[in-house]
Amino acid sequence: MLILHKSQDAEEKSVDSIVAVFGVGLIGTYLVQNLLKRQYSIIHNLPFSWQNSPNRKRETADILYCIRSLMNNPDIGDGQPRGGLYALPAQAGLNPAPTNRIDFVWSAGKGGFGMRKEETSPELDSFSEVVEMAIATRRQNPDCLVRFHMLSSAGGLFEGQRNVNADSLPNPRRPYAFLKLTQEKILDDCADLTCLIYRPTSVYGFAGLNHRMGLIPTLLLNGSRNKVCTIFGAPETLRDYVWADDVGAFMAEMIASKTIASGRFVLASGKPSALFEILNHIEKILNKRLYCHYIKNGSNTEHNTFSAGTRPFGWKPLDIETGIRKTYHAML
Amino acid sequence: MPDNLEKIRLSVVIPVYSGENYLEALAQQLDELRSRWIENKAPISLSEAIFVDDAAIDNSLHVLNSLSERYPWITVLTLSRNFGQHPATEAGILYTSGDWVVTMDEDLQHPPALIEALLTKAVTDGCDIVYANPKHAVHQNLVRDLGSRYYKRIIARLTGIKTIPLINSFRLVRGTIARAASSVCSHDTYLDIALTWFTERIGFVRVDLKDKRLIESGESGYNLRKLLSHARRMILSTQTKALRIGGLLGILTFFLSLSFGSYIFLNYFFEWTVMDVQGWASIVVISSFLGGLSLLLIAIVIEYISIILLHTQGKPTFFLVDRSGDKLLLDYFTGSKNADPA
Repeated sequence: MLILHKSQDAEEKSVDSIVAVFGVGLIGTYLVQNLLKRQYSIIHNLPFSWQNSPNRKRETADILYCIRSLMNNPDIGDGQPRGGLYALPAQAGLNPAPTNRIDFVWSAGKGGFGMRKEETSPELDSFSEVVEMAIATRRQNPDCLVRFHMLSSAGGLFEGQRNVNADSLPNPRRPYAFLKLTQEKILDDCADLTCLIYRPTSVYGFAGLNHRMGLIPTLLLNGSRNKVCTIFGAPETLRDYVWADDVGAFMAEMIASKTIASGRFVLASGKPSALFEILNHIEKILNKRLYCHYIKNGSNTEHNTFSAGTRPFGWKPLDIETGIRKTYHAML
Repeated sequence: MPDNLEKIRLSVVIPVYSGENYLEALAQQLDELRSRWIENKAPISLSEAIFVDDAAIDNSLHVLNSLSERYPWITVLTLSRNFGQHPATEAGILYTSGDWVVTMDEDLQHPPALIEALLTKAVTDGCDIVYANPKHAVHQNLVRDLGSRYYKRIIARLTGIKTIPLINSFRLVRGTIARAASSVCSHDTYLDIALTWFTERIGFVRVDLKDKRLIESGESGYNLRKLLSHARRMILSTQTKALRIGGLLGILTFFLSLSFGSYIFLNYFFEWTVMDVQGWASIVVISSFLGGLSLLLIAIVIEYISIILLHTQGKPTFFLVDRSGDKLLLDYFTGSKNADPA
């Protein structure tokens, strides 16, 4: 996890902002890049174990210590974590904290769309601990605005639904979607926090070969290497694709904003794209034919589309062709 | 239909250029059709109507924005400049997610009530595309109507695509095919030609269509320049046959030159006809042979160009289609009380 800090925003008077990002995967990477563009700087890069609970207790203490140090002395960004071998400040307010905004971001997810039911519990546990961390921070700093940003999944919650609009209800079908819905409900019950829940549709982008690749980068990579692509779906399958950088930019915008209202945002492009269309774009970009092997399996071939009316104010997704081109350039 | 089964969805795409006087009534008629299907518990729903503002020259965009507020199933897309009816239609189609897509004009020339007739034809005959074919002259303008009819016949003859005379902007297309064809269309590809790359199951329904705008006001969204541009794009999209005609001429000339050359050569020895000019035979044989050979080589090059052209235009090697949902619609529409007499 990363802790970022930004002091003295030129637009606001004496605003000090700390962002704790849990999970620097595809969207997390783009979020951090967008925060860096907004003059945030990375102060700490700390471990946070997803599976090992005893380690996590010590790591949580480290994270809270670093946040606390940063709040008390933002200019120095004091204190390297000492493996939990210290006591957290017992009394809040002894050293008046200049920081008046802390954003916790949950952009983690180890299992992904295909996770099994038994894999959901460790992730839910770690999520709950981060929420508790945010609540504790809020209680210790009543004057400080503490917000929690959570990445959910529109693709999971509305799987198999077409023309999803503001009135559509989530209908989770797989463990991953149930996990996301449970996480959202946990946040709904947090009265102390401002909770911002983002529901992106099918996200694509490239954050490095060590991250999960997803459909579009895999097609680009295999296409350029003349390798066969195995696609779990059919050429006519419709999805709503959004570029990871757009999601990261929107979240960064919300983090940089003064908003104190909780909300849910469906981050959809509003344009359904058939796999056939994506393949055409990629063949055009690579100037090569793609070798594809389709596996029609269960809900993989079901359409999932979103109406443009679900898009929140300020969300301006990139068109799919430009997004694919940018992803390709990021891979070069 | 069983409650747990998802309804078949229909998307409507309407490019808009100068339709401010018609859009309100058009949306109302679409809403009536939509409501009727809901009331009748039809297995199909009109899930969305996508209006594509093709840099409209009147107040259409304002009207569309107010309509989209009133009807949540209406989506408005705004193109950055005027691209023309076909690109606007293709843009709209690429935003649909329906199992069937209907494209129609903005000016009520194509009444939404006729959509059921198109659907009935499609599921009865297993068609992937159904065009509304006017029974009578649409424009009630002799030059325009005759011109349109004969122009389409000439193009059909030139391209070998017999369905071209049926082409109309009021069409029903299976969603997967509509989106696939639109995604391969470039700026010079004619949508209806691209559609024929994906299916041969094309039907038509004879209906009463009138270009009310042209009849009442004498105004049309089309002028001669646009119609000529339309014709050019149609020929360009199907130029492989035209190119092949050129190639065939080359082969023909080559064989003619060979046989003529043989005749001249044999005539030199057998003297069937006396030629007084010295060297005439050799010049004619060489020039006709080289001319024919050049044309033959050009024909081969043309054949290669045709292959490259179809590849770059996006003609698919194959395409799969799922027609399994048609039976539900067939059962519904063949139950006569459900079908609209229009």
